[in-house]
This record gives sequence, structure tokens and C-alpha cells, in this order.
Amino acid sequence: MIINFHLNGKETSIDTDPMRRLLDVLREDYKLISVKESCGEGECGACTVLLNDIPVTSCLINIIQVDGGSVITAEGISETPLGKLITDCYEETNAVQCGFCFPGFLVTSYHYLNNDPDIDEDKIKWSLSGNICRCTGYRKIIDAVQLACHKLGDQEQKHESI
Amino acid sequence: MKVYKPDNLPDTLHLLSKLPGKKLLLAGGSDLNILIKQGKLSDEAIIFINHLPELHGVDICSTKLIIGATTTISEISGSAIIKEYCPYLSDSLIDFASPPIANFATLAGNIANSSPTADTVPLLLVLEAKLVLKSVTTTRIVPISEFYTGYKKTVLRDDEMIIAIEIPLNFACKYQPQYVKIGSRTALTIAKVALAFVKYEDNFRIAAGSLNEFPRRLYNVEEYLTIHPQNIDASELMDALKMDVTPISDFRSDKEYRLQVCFNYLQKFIESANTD
Repeated sequence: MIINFHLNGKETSIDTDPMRRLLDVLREDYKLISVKESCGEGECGACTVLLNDIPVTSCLINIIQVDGGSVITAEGISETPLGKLITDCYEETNAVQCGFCFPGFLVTSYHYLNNDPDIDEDKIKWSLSGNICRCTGYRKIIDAVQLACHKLGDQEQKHESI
Repeated sequence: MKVYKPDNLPDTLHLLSKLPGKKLLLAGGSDLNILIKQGKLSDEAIIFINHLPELHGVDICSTKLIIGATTTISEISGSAIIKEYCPYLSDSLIDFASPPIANFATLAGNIANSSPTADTVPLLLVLEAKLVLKSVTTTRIVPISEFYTGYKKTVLRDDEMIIAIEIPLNFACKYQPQYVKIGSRTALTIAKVALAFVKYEDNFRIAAGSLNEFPRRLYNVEEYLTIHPQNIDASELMDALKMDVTPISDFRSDKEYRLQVCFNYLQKFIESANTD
């Protein structure tokens, strides 16, 4: 089946088995290896991508579901100003150790900060609750997202004063 | 595995009636893809329905809320209509899986998958929700309490599909049931026990998940509480509960724990309903 979709902002088309997992198509056909497989059952969030601007676990999505839609991976997000800001914040708070879960956290954090950058810890915890990290514990990750909220607030203030 | 992508609902129903053997409808795929990964599917026909606009969205008419079969859990909990007319459903669905799964898993899929632990079913049981089952030639409206007949067994025929879930408005907008889901952790957990409870006027609606072959109403407990609104005897209440549930021990929990936790929350909910 031919599947047409936007991938990291560019139109693309692929002729493939419609039941293949989005995760496999991204890694094998498009070599977007930020998208990681760990549990393969939607529990760990390492394979999270944005599908039509909403975070989903790509191990549980079939490529047929993507037809006509848009997919953004951590590769696409890391090119954006907000993606760069989030990466800097994770680095600043030492929130990344082995790095395996980070692309998933980046995608989820990006969605959170892009839509409702609220510093409230419970809101951040809930929005990140589909991502699991087995190295750091979550304190530094929450710190990173809160730091990003502050930096976004500062940017907005600067913008307003100009 | 043959995959079909019909253009509209009539074509979908036609496929369901004409294809031989087992057919599976794919909307979100959060359950289906795990079965595929486990090698539990082979020659089933897959019919993809997520792109059909007639199955998607939340609507309201004078007597009921209507939720289309492919509406996702996140869309329902975030829906302005649901927040206004059935806040209990909106609040309770926050506990469903995790945000990235709730973003594509559907309510109809959670119902049709027929898991004993299906998170949404106890909620819908106390709302006395109804399922609209459609085939090429028939439309049936089945109360969710009559949908399941056994473990992973339902009244859904091979040529039928759930096209919508209806929630009666007169109850949903008036009463705020209580709901608890007990798992090993808060997020992304599969319930060991789930309990939905509401007292209205002098009646009760109580439903439990993970305690039977399918989620069901606790009619004996409801009857006991209606007859004994004030003088509740703990051992009589437990006897009534034991008539309603048949918990099992498995890798997730054991039957004694499940029964006791259900009983404890039942007592807690009764107490809080009586002090309101």
C-alpha cells in the first residue's frame, strides 16, 4: 500500500506493508534512529513521536494510520529553537545519563512546552508519565522542563519589552 | 493478514458482512499491535476505520451524549461537551494508560477488546451507557451491562461493529460518581481493582473491573444498600459483595487482596455518600 505523509516537515511517500509499525518504518526505511525501541508495548515512551502534533508511542501505531498525516521525530524537533532550548535545559540540569530515553522525553517535553508551558510540577509529571527513565530518577528531568518554562517566560518578557 | 481501507461506513459494513472468517477493526491499534507482536494474529482480515469521519467525534442531543467509535480517550477527556455534561467521565479518563497512549486509543476499542480490566467499562456501567451496534441490515442499541457474556465474549455478531457509545444525559449531568483504580503505580498501570460508585436519591449504581470475567454491576451490593441505607453490617455487605465478584489470583495480584481492597473502597464510598 502506498502511504503519503509529512515527515519532519517534508512530504514523503512509501510503498510498504500497511501493518508495519511506524517505529520500524522510521528506523529502517528513513534511518531516523532517535526513535528507540525498548518495551515494544507502549509503556516506556522511548519511541514517542508527534503524529499530527500529538505525542504517540510509534511502536503501537501502524504505518497505515499515518497516511495523509504528519510525523515529527526528535530529529525534527532538535532543529527548532524550542527543541534546542529544551536540549540545553536537559544538559544544564544533568537530566540525561545513558541517553536512550532522551529522544522520547524531548518529544513529550516539546509538546508540553509548545502547548501549555506551565511550571506546575504535577502537570509536568502527568504529561511525562508515559516516558520511563531508568538512570536518573525524574527529579532532574522535571527540573529541566521547569527551567525551560522559566527560559520561555524570560523570552516572552523580553519580546514584550521590545 | 489482509488489510482493507474502506472509503466510508457503508463499505465498511459491507466488508464485515461479506468477508469470511475473523475480522478485526483497527482504529487506534494500542491493543491490536500487541497481539500482532505476540504472534497471536495470523489470517484475520484487518479493516482500518480510523479515517472515517462519520465515526469520529463527540455530539449531544436533547437526551444523550453520542461518542463516535474512533474518538480517542484524550479527545473525550478534553471535550468541552463532555466536561460540561459528564465531568465524571472527563475526570476519570485522566487515569487511562498514559497521555501518549490515550492520544490514539479509542473508547470503542477499549470496550470491544473485552478485557476484564478495561478501564472505561466500570465508568460506563454506572452511567448506563448504550452501545450502537450496526451491520448492513440491522442497528441494535445494547446496554453496556448486556454487552459481555463471558471472558472476552460479547453479543457482537461477526457482521456487526460498534459505531457509537451513547450516554443518557439526565443522569450524567446530575450525578458525580466516585471512581478509583488500584494498580502498582499511578500512571500506565493495569488495574488490580477498579470501582465506580454513585448514590442517587435512595438508589445506588456500583460497578467493578478486574474482579470478574468482564467488568460488571454489583447488583447484590446495590440491593443490600438500598434495603439497608443506614444500618450497614460489614459482614452482610461482604456477603453481598462475594455474590457479585469472583476475583482470581494472577501475576498482577491475588484474589484475597482484590476482594479486600474492593470492600475497603466500597465502605469508604458509602461513608462519603452518606455524609454528603
